[in-house]
Amino acid sequence: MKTALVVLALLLTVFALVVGGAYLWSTAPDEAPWTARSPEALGELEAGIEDLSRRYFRDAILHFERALELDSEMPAARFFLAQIYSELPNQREDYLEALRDTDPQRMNERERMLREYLLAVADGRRAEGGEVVAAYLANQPDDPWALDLQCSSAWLARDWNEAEACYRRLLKLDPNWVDAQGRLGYIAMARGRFDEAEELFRTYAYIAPDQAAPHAAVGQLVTVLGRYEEAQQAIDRALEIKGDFCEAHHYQVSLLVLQNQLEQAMAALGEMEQIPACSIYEQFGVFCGTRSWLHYLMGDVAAAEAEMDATCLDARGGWDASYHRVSAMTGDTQRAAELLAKARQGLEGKDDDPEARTYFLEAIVLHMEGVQKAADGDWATACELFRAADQDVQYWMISRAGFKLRNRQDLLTCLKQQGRVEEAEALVQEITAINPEYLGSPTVTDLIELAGVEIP
Amino acid sequence: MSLRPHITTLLLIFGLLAFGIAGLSIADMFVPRPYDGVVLRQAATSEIVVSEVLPDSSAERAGVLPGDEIRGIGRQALAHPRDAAEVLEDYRIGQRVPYLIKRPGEKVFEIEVELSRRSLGDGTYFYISFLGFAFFFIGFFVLVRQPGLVASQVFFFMACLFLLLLVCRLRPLSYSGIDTAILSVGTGALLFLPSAFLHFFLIFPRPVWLRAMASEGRWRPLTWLFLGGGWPLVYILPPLVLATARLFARKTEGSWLTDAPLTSWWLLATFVGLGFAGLVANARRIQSSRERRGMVLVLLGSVFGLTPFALASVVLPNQASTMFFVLGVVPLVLVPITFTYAIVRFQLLDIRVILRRSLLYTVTTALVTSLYAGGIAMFNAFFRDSALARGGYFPIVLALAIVVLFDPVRRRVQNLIDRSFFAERSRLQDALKELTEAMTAQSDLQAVVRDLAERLPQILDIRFCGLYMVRHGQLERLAGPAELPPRLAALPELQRFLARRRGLHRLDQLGSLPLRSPKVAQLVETLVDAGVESLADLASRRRQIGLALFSPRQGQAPLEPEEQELLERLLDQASIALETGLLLEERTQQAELEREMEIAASIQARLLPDRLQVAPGWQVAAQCRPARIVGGDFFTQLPAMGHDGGGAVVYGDVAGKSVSGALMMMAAHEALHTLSMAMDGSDPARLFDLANRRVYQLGKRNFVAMAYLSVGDEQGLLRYMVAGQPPPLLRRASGTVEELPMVGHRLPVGAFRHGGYQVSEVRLEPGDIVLGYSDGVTEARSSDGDFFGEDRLLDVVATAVHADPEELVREVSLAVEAFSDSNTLYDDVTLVAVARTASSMSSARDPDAADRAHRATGSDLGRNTSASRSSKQESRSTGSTGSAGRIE
Repeated sequence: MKTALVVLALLLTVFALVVGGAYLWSTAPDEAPWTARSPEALGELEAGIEDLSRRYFRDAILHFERALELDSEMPAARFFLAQIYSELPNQREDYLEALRDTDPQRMNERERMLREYLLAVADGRRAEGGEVVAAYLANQPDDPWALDLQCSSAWLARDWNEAEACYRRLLKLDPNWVDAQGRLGYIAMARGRFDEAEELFRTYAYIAPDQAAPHAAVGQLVTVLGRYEEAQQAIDRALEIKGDFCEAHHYQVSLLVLQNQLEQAMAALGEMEQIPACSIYEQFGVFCGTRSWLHYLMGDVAAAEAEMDATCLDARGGWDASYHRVSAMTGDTQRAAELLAKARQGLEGKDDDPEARTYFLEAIVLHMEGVQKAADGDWATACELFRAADQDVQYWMISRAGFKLRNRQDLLTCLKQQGRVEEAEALVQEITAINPEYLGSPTVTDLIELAGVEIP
Repeated sequence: MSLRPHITTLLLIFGLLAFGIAGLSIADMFVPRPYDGVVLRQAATSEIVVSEVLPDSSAERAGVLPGDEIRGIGRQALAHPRDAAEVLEDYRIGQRVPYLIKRPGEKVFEIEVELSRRSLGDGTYFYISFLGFAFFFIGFFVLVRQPGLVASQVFFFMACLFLLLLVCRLRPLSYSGIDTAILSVGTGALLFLPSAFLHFFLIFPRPVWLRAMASEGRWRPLTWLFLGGGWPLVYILPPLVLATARLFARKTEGSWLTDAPLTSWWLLATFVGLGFAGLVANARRIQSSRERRGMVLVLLGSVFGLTPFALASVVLPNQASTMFFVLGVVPLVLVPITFTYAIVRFQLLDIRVILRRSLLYTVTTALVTSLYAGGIAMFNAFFRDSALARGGYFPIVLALAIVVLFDPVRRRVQNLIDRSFFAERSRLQDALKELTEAMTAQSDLQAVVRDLAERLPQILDIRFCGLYMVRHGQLERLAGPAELPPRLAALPELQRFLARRRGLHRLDQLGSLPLRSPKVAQLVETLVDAGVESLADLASRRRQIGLALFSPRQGQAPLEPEEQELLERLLDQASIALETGLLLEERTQQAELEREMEIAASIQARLLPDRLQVAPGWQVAAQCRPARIVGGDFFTQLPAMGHDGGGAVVYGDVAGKSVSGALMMMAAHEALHTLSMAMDGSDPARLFDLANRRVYQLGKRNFVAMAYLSVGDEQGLLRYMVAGQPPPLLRRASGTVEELPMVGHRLPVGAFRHGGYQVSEVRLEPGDIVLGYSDGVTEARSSDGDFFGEDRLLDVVATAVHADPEELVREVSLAVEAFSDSNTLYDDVTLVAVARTASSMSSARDPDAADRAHRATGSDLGRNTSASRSSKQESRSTGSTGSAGRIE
């Protein structure tokens, strides 16, 4: 009997251990999301990630840099900084280099994956980078960071189906992943599902009411849709939350331009220029370029040309579509041709890489060519070029939406000039269906005047 | 070392834990939570849609409508309805929470909902919890009553698992911090419940079928599992099956511990089915019809209670649905009901439950009253505004209907209870009544003893009923087991105690009597050691008859008041029957004794001479009247010693009465006659001396007062000798009365070793009469207690009309009789009268005339004129005749 008691006790103990172990295993928290040498460094990293999700890039950079001060080898901070500086190769290279030097053994599995991905992409091996992410997701299907990368690839490749499915899957994992909310909203915008986009942005704003980004997103959406009052309210709300939110200032300028409030737009641009957080725009020549364009719109070609000096042009990458228009419409064909050629150079070698391929750039080039043709009097070809540019651009993000509207306006002008009344009518319907206000007071009238037509 | 006590302890600890966890679950359910009043569902397209808005809820007040899609609560986007509950957990009651709503055809918008209070537990969960705890307490009761029985241990374990399954598994999600843990416990219970079912039903109430199979060598693995100690493997089997199913399933979702996959329910259904088969197999081999009936009841209850539950669990995976509750959970109540009834009614698992009938009746009455109240309430609710309810006479009619119907309904229900639970009690009561009636017609003592000692224990279901009867101042055992003492002391204090309080008394409920009386305490201790629990006095009005001792009623309920009363009546009737039997016995004995006494009296009477013959010229008469049937007085005739041709009369009075006196009388009588014949007419004093010596030899306190009167001399000489008798009286013809002179030694014969008697003489003239008498004459008492005395005797003698001895004897006898007023004579009365007649010649010439003249009155010998058998004093008297004038 004593033996039986001992056996029973052993059985019970084993059973309890098994059950307890299974329970602990099933409920065991995941390994630490990020490696850090100190809790303070981790805190800075997480704060930076939070800022990143809010699109407070400047703040994010500061936090990530602070994290690196506390932990000089923190791989995650390096990764995120590299991501932020993805458009600034010089700065990004420093972080990439540091990532290359970081001991992979110090990283957790996720960080190793991110490092591998980023280095592959930086080396032009996007496909390989994608495979790295896919392999990681096969083992960790519920890792939101890896999934976000995968979704971003689809997003960059403009594979809206894949991107939408991916972001929806991400939202299932974490319904409050606001970046996914925003991206889905933009995807909806791109696909012309503006109501859905508004819902997504408003949901985004509901989840993160203290963030400026969702309000700004709403603002740019309703700007595209011609609901300028709502847009102003949304932008005001965004700036109320974060006064130095550059995107909101940017949208403000765009909104004012669309409303033909060019002086106010200039003033708003001036305000934005004063904001230190928006200095990155300076690096890309956004201020000078926009100022130049505004001067042109206000009829001051000399000021426009003076603004677009060599420095600004250089910051703009050697060319600028608006400046090309100015050149083409003012008869400076040589400058226009140079600018067009420069633009075309940016398209070289990227046809085979879906993520690298910039459809927008292609559309811009086509549009520039169309403007050139129109300026040359070849309205027929201009129409074709404008139509081709229209097909590759969706109404997503105010920059692209604004471009598409302007391109369509130019197409409309062209069609009218060609006497293609039915096509023009149809195009008018399409434009007013999106933005009923746009054709009412067009901001850019140079082609209209050149064509000698009237735009309803 | 036995494992059983440890297992019981472990089980109790487990039960305590289960109880605690179940309590925690209930607390979790009924703790007020912030609630918005919205019932959500997940649409096919994954949206979270409002299916219902509770009336007067916060959501309704805020403007939420059914059909609205909830995009977010509390600044959190929702992916699942449970997310809503989790978010609300972070808020307090009264807080305002932002909701993001998408209404069909409208854009998303925000509203604020102020959270109200709500408990997750509702009536359904209350019912489920009630079932769970009912199971638990039944199992606990069984384990406490039979801790060593394997079936009761398994039953308790199963009951705990049921509790955990019902309370911890069938509950709405609370999303509280302990929700997962509680659900996990419930799922764990589900894992082991199938095995517990199977185990229990195979060994309930005893593993009869398994043992039969083991003895036949069949089903070896099964018998080893449940009889050979392999039972832990049975409990591991379902978890193994489940784990295997999980591992090999193509896609499994949900937590391992909180989600109960379909496999678990299939296992439950399968094991329950096997368990039923095991129960049927056991029932078929159980010999006791009582147990079999109980098992059938359990089987039926389990089938109709558990089958719907198992089926519903498989067919309706949504255990929160109303249909699951109605079809699967509600019928479960049959299981505890049938189990409880089977245990109480059929004493399964050898558990005897004492039910108070009065309590059940009270509950019944309360239930019927509640039913009526409920009926009235329902009627009011349904027909409140109807013409019927507004009618003026309706309340009166309704009240009358209630009054008329209430009691019949109540009685019917109580009869049902009696038939269901107290059938044996009814039989007990009927048997007691029957026995009581049988006792009334019983007068045979042995039959009464037999009924008490044999039938009554069977009726009361006790081991014995011991019977003691009072005999010779003690209580002698007439019936009962050998361990009862053969004799007990008859303690007056105990008898008084029992006589004051009728009926049965427990030995431990004798109050302070054992403390006050050590003898009672010792008696109680002796009886307790012999296995006696209670006793009852058997007594009639006149006397204590005996004691009835009872052993305990093992496992039975104490007697109800009605049964107590019936038993008291039975004992009263038994007392009467015993008294009657005793009296019959006594009467029979007394009748026999009386018969013997009559025979003795007859013999004694024959010893007295029919005729007294003395010398001519003398008359003699004698009379002897015993105080009882037989007496100690006598008279006899002896040859006249010293008187030629004369005769002597001796009359005696023995010390003692009744039989002893009679025997002594006969001894003295025979001694006198034998000695007188041997002495050949010598000195009467010598006769008395010899008689004295003889009587003395018979022992102390045996002596005889005698007197000798002898006549035969023509000179009228009377010789006399008195030994202990009063001095005879001499009445002269002139009418004077005097005592005859006495000598010094007049002690009764046999008083001392040596005699020394002397004969005296006195000359009598014609007309003189001497009267000898025993002290019974003077000691006769009146009803006032006065003695007849010598003075009265002198008066009677003096005033006697005639000098006729017969007349004198008769007159004295009548005077004594009149004085005593027919009162009981204290002592025998003997009278002897000797008279000298006027002339002896005249008597000789007419012998017949002498005969006629001196014929004594009195009744003939042998005639029994006793008035009553019950009287200790016969009024019969003997007389003797004396004839005068004839000289033998």
